[in-house]
Amino acid sequence: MSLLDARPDRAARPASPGGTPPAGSSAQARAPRRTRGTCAAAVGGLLALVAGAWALAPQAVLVSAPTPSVPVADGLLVDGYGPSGTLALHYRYGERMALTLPLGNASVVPFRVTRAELVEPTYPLLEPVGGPVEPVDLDPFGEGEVVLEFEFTNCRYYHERANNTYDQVRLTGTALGREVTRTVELAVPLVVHSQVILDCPERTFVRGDDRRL
Amino acid sequence: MLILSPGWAVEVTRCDMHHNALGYSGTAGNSVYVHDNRIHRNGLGFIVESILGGHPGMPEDHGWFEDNKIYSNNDNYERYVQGEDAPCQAATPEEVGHRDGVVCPAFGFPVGTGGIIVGNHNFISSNQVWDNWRQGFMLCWVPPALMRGDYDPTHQQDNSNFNAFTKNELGYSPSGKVPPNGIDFFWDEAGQGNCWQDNLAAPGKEVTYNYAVGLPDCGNPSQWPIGNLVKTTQLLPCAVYDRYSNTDPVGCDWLDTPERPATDTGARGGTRAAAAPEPDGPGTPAALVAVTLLGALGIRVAGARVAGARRRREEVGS
Repeated sequence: MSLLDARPDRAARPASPGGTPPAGSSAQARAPRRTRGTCAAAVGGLLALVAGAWALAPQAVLVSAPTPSVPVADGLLVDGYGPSGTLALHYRYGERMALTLPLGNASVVPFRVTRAELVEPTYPLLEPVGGPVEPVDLDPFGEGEVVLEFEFTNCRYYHERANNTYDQVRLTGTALGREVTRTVELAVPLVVHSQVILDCPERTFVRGDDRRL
Repeated sequence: MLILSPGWAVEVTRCDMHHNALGYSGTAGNSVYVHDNRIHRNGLGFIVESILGGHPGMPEDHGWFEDNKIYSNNDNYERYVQGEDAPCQAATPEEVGHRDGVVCPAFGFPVGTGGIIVGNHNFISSNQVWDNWRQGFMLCWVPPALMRGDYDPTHQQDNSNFNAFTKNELGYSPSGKVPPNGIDFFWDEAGQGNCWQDNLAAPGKEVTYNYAVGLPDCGNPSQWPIGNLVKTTQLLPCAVYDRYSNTDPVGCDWLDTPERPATDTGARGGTRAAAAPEPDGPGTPAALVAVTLLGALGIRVAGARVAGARRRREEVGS
């Protein structure tokens, strides 16, 4: 059926040169078929919409930049260094630290976070410990938080003027059953600086033993 | 010559400091009198700083730098470090070639700089400073928590304050040549009590700096402890430098040799602050709008003329 079939002048014409079936009865016969077709198209469209939404769900997930925080003994927020300040972490070799990251879902798609990790260099001064995080469900435009545990280590690979800067977190999880990974900028970067030799028990006097290769 | 002198902890004089990645370094080098030295052809001429933890006497204070010749500190030894085949990547010191002049910088410093001050109550006076392609002197703030391991919130603004740069001769050599510095003074606008006064430029030139208005003089020194965000944060990306595994850190331009400054740098009536570009004026957008309006007017006029001609032809035809 086309739009032309629905024109009044077309409906008034005989269906064939012989003109056997009356025009009115032909239209009545086609009406249920038109309704069924419309319904099928609507259902098909709806299914396509759902399938499209499901397919695009990972792309739609949006997480706002989290502002990390640590207990007072583990660091200090330095205002005025960087646009939003910089969180300076207090390196103490071998000790552990908990970093809290508030997460905000800035999209309409629910996001279940099953893994969160800072984007780190090789031989990081801040090594993740404590295993995977508890899953966090972020409703559409909802909030939650993850707590990451780290150990201060690897100072032997860094001279005393060096540092590690962490400014991204990688989140992995699911949205509508599909796997999603998002790398999100931290609202405030983290900096952990290396140590002088006296404060780094793992440093050796072997030449080349500090190479990060 | 190193002298233990009364009144000063250490006196450094008549030294020739050259062809190093860093000519002179004084972490928490307090009460040092450095005078009548030649500091030249290094990557960075000298630094006195409060950056590095584990040193007593932080923050650095009371250095006196006077009558030194500080020039041509543009030697970039990063060429010995960068690349897998670079000499500094060799396995043994003999293979590296230290005896042949190979230098392997351990830290990433701004190549092309005469001297850096990160401390308090330093007096930098009557030095002759020329041909340092990035800057003559650099004064800046480094938060103690970021590099020094001092997390006391009340200490975070403990540098760089009460430093005076006076009577330095900038951008010309004793022989009368005029090789300018990239800029004479870099300041991140942080700290209180800092001042610049009676510094001299070559005839026809002006002292150059990266500050939008005039640098504060010693009668009205700087007041505000917080610096300019854009200028203060270069240290962190450069601090991830490592001569083996990260020889060219992302976001750090300190390790690149600056271009030799043009001979008219600092020329009176020219650019006073080479590193502070002026914002765009309204001229360009105004010209674009004018051209657009003229174009639209032209199209309208042309359209009206074509329509008029067609009407006349029709009248003639009828």
